[in-house]
Amino acid sequence: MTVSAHDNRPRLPTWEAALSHLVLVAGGFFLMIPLAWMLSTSLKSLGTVMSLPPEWIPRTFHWENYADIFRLVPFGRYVWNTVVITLLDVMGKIVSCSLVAFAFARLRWRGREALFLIMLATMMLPPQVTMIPQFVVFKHMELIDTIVPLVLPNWLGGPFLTFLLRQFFMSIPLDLDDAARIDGASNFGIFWRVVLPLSKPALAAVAIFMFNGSWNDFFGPLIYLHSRDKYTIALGLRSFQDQNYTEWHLLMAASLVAMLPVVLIFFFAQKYFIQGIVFTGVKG
Amino acid sequence: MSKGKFTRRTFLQMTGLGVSTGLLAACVPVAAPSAEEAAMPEPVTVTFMVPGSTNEDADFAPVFEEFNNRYPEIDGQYTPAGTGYGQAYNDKLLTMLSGGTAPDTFKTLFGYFGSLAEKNVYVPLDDYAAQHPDETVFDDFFDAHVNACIIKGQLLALPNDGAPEGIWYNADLYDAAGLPYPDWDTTWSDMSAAGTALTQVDGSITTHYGIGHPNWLGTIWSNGGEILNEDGTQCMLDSDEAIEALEWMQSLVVDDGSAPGPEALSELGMFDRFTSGTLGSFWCVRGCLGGLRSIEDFQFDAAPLPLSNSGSRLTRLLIGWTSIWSGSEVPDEAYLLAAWICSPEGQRLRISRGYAHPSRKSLVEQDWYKNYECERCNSHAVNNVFPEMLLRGEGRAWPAHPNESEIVQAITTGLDSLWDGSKPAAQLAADLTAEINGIIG
Amino acid sequence: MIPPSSPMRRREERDGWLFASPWLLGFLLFTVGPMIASAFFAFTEYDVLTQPKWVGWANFDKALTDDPKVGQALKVTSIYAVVSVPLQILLGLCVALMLNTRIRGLQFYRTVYYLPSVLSGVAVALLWRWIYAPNFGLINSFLARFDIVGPGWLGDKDWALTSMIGMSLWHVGGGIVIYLAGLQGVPSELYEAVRVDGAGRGAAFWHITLPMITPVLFYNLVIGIITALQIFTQALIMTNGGPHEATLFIVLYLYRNAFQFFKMGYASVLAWILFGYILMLTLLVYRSSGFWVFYAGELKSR
Repeated sequence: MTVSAHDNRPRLPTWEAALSHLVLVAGGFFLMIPLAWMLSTSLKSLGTVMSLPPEWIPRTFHWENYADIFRLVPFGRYVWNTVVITLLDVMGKIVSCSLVAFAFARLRWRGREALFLIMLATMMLPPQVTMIPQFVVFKHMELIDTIVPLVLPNWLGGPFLTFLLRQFFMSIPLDLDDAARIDGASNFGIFWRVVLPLSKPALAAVAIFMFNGSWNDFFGPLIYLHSRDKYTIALGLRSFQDQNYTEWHLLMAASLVAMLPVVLIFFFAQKYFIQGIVFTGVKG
Repeated sequence: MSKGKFTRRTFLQMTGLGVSTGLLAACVPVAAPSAEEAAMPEPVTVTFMVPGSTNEDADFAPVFEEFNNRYPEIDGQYTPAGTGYGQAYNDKLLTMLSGGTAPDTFKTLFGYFGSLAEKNVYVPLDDYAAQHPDETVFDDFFDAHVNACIIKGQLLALPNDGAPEGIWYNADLYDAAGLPYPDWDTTWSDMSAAGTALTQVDGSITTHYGIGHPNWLGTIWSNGGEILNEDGTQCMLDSDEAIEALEWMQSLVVDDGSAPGPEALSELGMFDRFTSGTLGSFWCVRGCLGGLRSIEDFQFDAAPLPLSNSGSRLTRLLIGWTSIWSGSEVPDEAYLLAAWICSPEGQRLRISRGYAHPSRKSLVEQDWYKNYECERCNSHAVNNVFPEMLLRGEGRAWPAHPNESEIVQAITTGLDSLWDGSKPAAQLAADLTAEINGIIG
Repeated sequence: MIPPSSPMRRREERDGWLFASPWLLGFLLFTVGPMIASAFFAFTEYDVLTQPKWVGWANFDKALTDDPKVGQALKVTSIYAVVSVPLQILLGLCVALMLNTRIRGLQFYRTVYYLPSVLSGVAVALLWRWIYAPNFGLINSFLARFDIVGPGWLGDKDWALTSMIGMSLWHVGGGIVIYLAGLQGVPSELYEAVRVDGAGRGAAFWHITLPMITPVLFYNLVIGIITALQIFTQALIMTNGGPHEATLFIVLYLYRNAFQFFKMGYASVLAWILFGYILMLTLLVYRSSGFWVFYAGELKSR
């Protein structure tokens, strides 16, 4: 068995690379137009935000919109709260989901298949009908208006990402486990030294998903947080919806600011799931 | 063997570390308030929840500052729900009520007051109002506003504001078409004619619509129609008056093409379309001024609702129901806060910097209201139109009903076929009547 | 090769439960109770504020025989899932394959293609309203250049569902990330082997890449089915079920019952009907997976 850093991505002939660029640029252009439009909207005033036909270039650039969102809403506070919750969520998700996925993917134990199906089944009931009973559970634990209801479940597995990691773990040849066992490794040793190192791309994907999901979560903070100094960005973004109209310019500015960290994380984290360590196969 | 032990311990440590980190991080904020000693005369905390838009936050700030000055023994806490205005506010409120963690006082949005009242969510306020006449100043409320807070003879809320609906028109478009502005004598047919005259078509695209969608409730009421009978046991939408009102609404979109249809609305909503300068007029409350004041390109103003075919006018009121939760442990203090928020001075502090409509007769007489300077308001009719309609008794709130949110949903869904012409008004009225009777029955 | 009763096997048996215990704990603490509660509510009339009242099968009767909205909701939800899930999988895979080559600027491209998945909430609503706007919107302006009059999209009852499906494709970024991670697990050695055999890249894709990423394809299919059939937020903020209930998805309808109409009992019945529907589909896919999903490290049953 050899495990090494290895790039298995196909090398393209020049003309094909050029074609790829063309297609990717065209698709990317289509995806970027809406964001460019968001940027343009975020720099207008409320009175000129809407026009038919739409104006691309703001008549005057209202850069102060970006200052206003911090002035009108305790946005800095919200960002900090969101960062804390998100980081705890991501840590918890990676630790707990990888442990649970290891049990489902690589250990033989009675009840494994049945429990796996039960885990899948928990995703199938729409959360709208379990939301209130869940709220009552946390209320009895006196945890309302704390971040525990938002964070704790993420330290206890969670079907979506456990399932994902299970799929990746099951793609790693079993011979590696057996070889490690013969070398005297415990199950945890296999988890730690064989499976996890080979799953860096998958773990990076899980981290990105969880970061994104936690960062943008609206219903969790909505239900469980009751005092404003604990609110998150997703709640803050709603405060631009007034009774009779929406302050689109501020909403767009705040949305752009809010998405920036996620984009940056993605930009830098992607090298892990692109250039992760790739095992080059098992011999013998 | 030792490796096996190490494994388990490491595993437990990891899990333990994780869980305790989470608990620790979460417990830090709760630790402070729960550790209070009873010996100190701490002020009683009373919470007040509203959706909490940015404007609302700013408007309420001086109200709470002043309250906490006046009542040092009470700590009034402004608690925005973090939802802005939308369905999410009701979701949060309902979850809190169901879980028994609701705020002491809170605002109820349109469509929920009757439903929540039936489920005993509110403390009846009659005795409190009698005990605190100076704080309540009952007689100063507009009658329609107070009536909207009374269900089965019980006062279940105080109105912290309550907005009648008027017409906002684009004065520049009216001028360009040589049309007189809408005023007290404007009728439905005048509005139709103006709508048609103001509509501009370029090829297959309507670039300017002359008129917005009339609000269904006010329009039906104005013509003498009713949604429900007096005791809320029967839907009355299939009356001739109601059908005539629906027909007028439909004619604007389907016959005249002067009001935007569903497709045009999916492009730009009524408010946004008006600010873009491509809508002649639309139905909205005074609160719209908060957004309209930032218009740069044209003059505008408000006008009363047009007179119906039966020659009358009735505008629906959007009431700011301020109630006390029946589970509150401090209802007395909560009442003082609610009464303050709804008091003349409490409303003045909030509304004189914002744009809601006061529920108090005395406030619309005050200078800040009567002589409000609005840069692009054409004739400042905005300062007298809304109170005048109220003083003429032309305002009314939706009569609270246990099934009101379901009824409203049925009507708004049904209106789809009015706006796109797929059902004649009479057919829609018949269908809705059957559906709503099914809901009530 | 390892005897089933060996200490090693017993340890594996025990460690299985140990490793799975975080999820088991979470399941017992926070999931199973609320699920049982909602199953109980399904047999009651429950407004979430006063005590539930036992009504037996009445809610089921109403949902299955007496409520035309349920049929409509299941219909549009199914159409949405049947069309959007395969499209998402296909599109995601195609883009991921393109992003998994060695060309310059990939880090930038990948970020661009993931960007839409980052955006959420109300801003998305305004964005799509503008993209789909009938007269001056992005799509119809583009079509107008070719003298095509585009439809009314979100405001048109015949196109609203199509519009929602289109929106779902904007969010394939998540799927792309999974495919990219999956593609890293394909041993390069295998590619070298086919190259030596003189096979083309097409053959390499069919015989190596595709089989090797079936585990993640399987994941995206199952999760795609579950999330598509539970579509909710987009419908709530974009169309609120309209026009003419053309986008009245089942979860939107049950949400209305639960939180707007105070009919949590009925909402629970709808939720459990949907549960059964998803479970049936998932089990079908799960059973079929033995024929088409290839796991390099699958544990054979004992």
